[in-house]
Formats: sequence, C-alpha cells, structure tokens
Amino acid sequence: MSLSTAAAPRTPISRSRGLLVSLGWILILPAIILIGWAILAAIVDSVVFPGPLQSLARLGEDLSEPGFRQSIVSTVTLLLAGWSLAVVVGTLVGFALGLSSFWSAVFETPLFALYSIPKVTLYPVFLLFLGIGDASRLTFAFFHGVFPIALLVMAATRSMDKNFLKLADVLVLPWYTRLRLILIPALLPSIVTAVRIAFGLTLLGLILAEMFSAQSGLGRELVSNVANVRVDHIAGQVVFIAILAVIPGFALRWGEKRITRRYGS
Amino acid sequence: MSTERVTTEPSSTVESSDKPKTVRERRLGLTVRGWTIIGALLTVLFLELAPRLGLVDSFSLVPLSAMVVRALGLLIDAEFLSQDLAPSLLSILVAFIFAVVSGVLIGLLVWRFDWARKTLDPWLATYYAIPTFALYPLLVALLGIGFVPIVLLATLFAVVAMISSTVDGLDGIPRSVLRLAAVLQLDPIQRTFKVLLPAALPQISVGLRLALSYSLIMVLASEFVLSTSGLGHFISNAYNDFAITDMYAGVLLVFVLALGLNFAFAAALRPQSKRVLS
Repeated sequence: MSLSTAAAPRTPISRSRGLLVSLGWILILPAIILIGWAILAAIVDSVVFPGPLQSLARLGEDLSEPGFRQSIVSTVTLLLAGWSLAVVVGTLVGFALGLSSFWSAVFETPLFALYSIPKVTLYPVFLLFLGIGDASRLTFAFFHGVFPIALLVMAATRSMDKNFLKLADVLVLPWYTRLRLILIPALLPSIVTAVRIAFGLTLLGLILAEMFSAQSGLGRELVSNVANVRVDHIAGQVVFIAILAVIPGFALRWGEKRITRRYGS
Repeated sequence: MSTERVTTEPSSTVESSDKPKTVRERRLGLTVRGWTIIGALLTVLFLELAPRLGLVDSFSLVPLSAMVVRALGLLIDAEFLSQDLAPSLLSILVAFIFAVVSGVLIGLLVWRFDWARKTLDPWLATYYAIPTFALYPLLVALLGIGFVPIVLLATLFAVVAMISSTVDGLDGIPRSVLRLAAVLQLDPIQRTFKVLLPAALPQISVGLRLALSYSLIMVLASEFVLSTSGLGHFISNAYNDFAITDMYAGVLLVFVLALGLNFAFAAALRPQSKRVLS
C-alpha cells in the first residue's frame, strides 16, 4: 500500500529531490486543513471561532509561560518513560511467550482482550491504587501501549524458523552472534512496527489520563482552557500537540520502511 | 539487497487465532484451553478474595461478586439504561456507520486517483501517532457538550482505519478480476458494488472490526473525560462520588460490551470472509 520507491539508480541528487517531492506531498493535507480553517473562521467571524493566525499567536503566548513549558516537559518525560518501558517489557514478554507456540496460544486470548477493551475506563483504578500523580499517569501510559507490542513480537517470534536456533545450539554460537544473525533479522521488522504503534497509543493514554485528572501536562492545559472557553488557546495547543506527535510519527514510519526493506518482512 | 523473506504478516497477526497444531498438546496435563480457563479462574478468584481477605483495601477494590450484583442491578435500572447505556450505544453506532461509509468512499478515492493517494498515503500510517483525543476539548468548546462532538471525534478516530483497510483490500484485488470488470463493461456504480467492494471484502471486514472497536474506545473516552451522560460518564461520576462499587460495575459492563461486540463481530464475519476467499 505504500508508495513504491523509485527504482532508478539513487544518486545523492535524485535522492534529495525525491525527499523534497515526498515532503511536498506530505505538506499538502495540512495546508488544505489550514486554508480551510482560515476561510471558515473568516466566514463565521466570531470570537468563539478563532482563525489559525490568532490561535498560533496564543500558542506563542502560552509557550512563553513557565507553567506551560513545565507541562510540556512533564508530558514529554512521561511519554518517553512510558513508551520505552512498554517497548522493553512488551518485547521481552512477547519474545519469551513466542518461543513456545503452546504458551503463546494460551496468552494470546487474554492479551488480545486487554488490547481491545477501552482501557480509559480503568484509569480510576490506577488513581485509586497509585494516587493522583506521575506514578499513575506513567503506569497508565505504559499499560495503554504495551499490549500491541507483546502481541506483535509474540507472533513474529512464533513464526520465526526455530531450526536456526537449534543450529545455533549445535554450533555453540555466542549470544551476540545469535542476536545479530538470527534474532534481529527475524524480529526487527515486527519490533519497529510495534514501536511505532505503541508510540501513538502511549501518547493517547497519557493525554487521556492528563485530561481526566493530573496536576500538570498538556492534557491538563487543554481541559483547564475549556472552563474559560479560551478556544484560541485550545486550538493553538491542539496544533502544538499534533506537531509534537507527527514529527516522531514520521521518523518512526521512515525507520520502519528502511528496516523492512533491509530485512524483509 | 533484499534476500530471502521470512513469511510473517504484521498486519494480520493480531487477528490470527486458529492454531490447530497446538490444540492437542498438553503441558502439566492441560491443553491450551485448559490453561486459559485456569487463568480466568485465578483472575476471578483473586478479584473475589483479595478484597475479602484484606490483601487489597476495600476502598480500592470491591469483591467481584459485588461488582456483578451491582452490574446486574444497573441493567434493570431504567434510569441507567436511558441515561447512560442508550446514549453510549447510539453514539457508537452512529460513529461506526459514519466512519464506515466515509472510510470506504475515501478509500475508493485513494485507490482510484493518484493525487488522492499521494496526498493521503503519508498520513494514513502516521495518523494514529497523533492523539486525536486532544481535539475533543476544542470540539466541546465549539459545539457544546453533547452527542455531536462525541460522534464527530469517534468518527474521526475510526475513519482512518477504515480508509487504510479499504485501500489495502482494493490494492490486493488480482488484475484478472479488474480485467473481467472491464470486459463486462459495467458502469462505475455496478463495478464498485459488484466487483471492487466484494473482492476487497476480507480486508474491509478487518477494517470494520477496527472501526467498531475504535468508535467504542473514543465514545467511552469522551464520555469519561467530559460529558453529562453515557456509560463513560457514569464511571467517572461514580469515581468522583467515591461510589466504588458503581464504578467497578460500570467498568465491568464496558468490558463485557467491548469483548462481546468484538467476538460477535469476529464470529459474524468469519464465514463471510471464508466464502469470498474460497
């Protein structure tokens, strides 16, 4: 489904031109949305419907406030912590279960069930046990992102050719050689896909948690503006959150494509 | 550069569930199903006994039996049904229908027109990195609390999964099928409904399941965070009132609803997708 990459020989010039062209295509949709927003705001012409320029100006004001900057730091820190925790735990658990097709069959149903339920309704339980603070937000963000990683890595490990591992046993290969020659080629494509999916889910979980109850964080900032109907501030912050998410999103997608091309999938 | 390929399918692994090979195998005398049942029983026992034996304090967790009794009580409570359950179900249904109809239409557009594909394709894979839910306060500020912003948000969240799977399905149609449609000289509508969509149905049904589960997640999340009715609101309200039994009963109902819809959907779609595949 992805766009086919040019088959022509890749010189540095054609590569950078190709990069510019794809960047251009990427920017069309946001441009359309911004222009549509500006036109709509001009037609409605109301205080409660600010245009993009006004919203970005408010975002600039917010960014100069220490409290808002503190919220950014808090959200980004917890996101990175929850995400990396989800990646490490999900990969290890998925790998351990995937080595045995029996145990992966046992754990697949509960893992899939936990993946597909709306976990946000469980957030109060996290609050009851961990209190309102960074611990409950972090744990919830982790919980929101860990299951797809475990499921994807488990499936990849299960479908890996176990004869290679037996061969490695016979040849008494050291662990780092096994890692480099067998495990990474077989598992890395699924792991990067899982890492990308988990990024979005962890961030979503974190923002949800912050909106429901937290002392700081970007979700908290959004909700505190609702009561005062500061729509321009909200719109500016939504744009900010989207940019904050989209840049790693594209970087992860790019890395995933490269790794999939290199190792196959 | 690319040498031999290992056959794994990351996109379908989450859904796969049939492994006839391992069913007969036993570990410590139990089959896969046996262990699954043991796990479920242990969870039930823990949820029942932990608060009763004082392993967990009773303000944080109530015994499972109390949750079940309260949940059953809610199901015959007319106010709960009309104020909480019905609005949630209605929002989920409407958002699901919107997402499916617009997702299939946009998917057809992306598949048919190169400009649409070039514009949307980079965003389809990146969309779910964005916490769409951040839009909800904006929608509430503009449209007020109620049915409209919830359905809009859930549709926005679910539609992209529907677009992606429609495009995947259409891309996977064999060339011979497309040639057949050309030979039959069908008009565009007949071609779409009699050839393209049926041929893409296995992938589309994956999208349907995702769209349903995504609408459900977003409807409950928006009700939970900021709303005046719905199942999500019931749970957050109970939490704020320290009505812990009510809260757990609500969570239990949400899980039953989510898992029930998911499995019912999977069961309903399985024979159909097999028929198309064979």
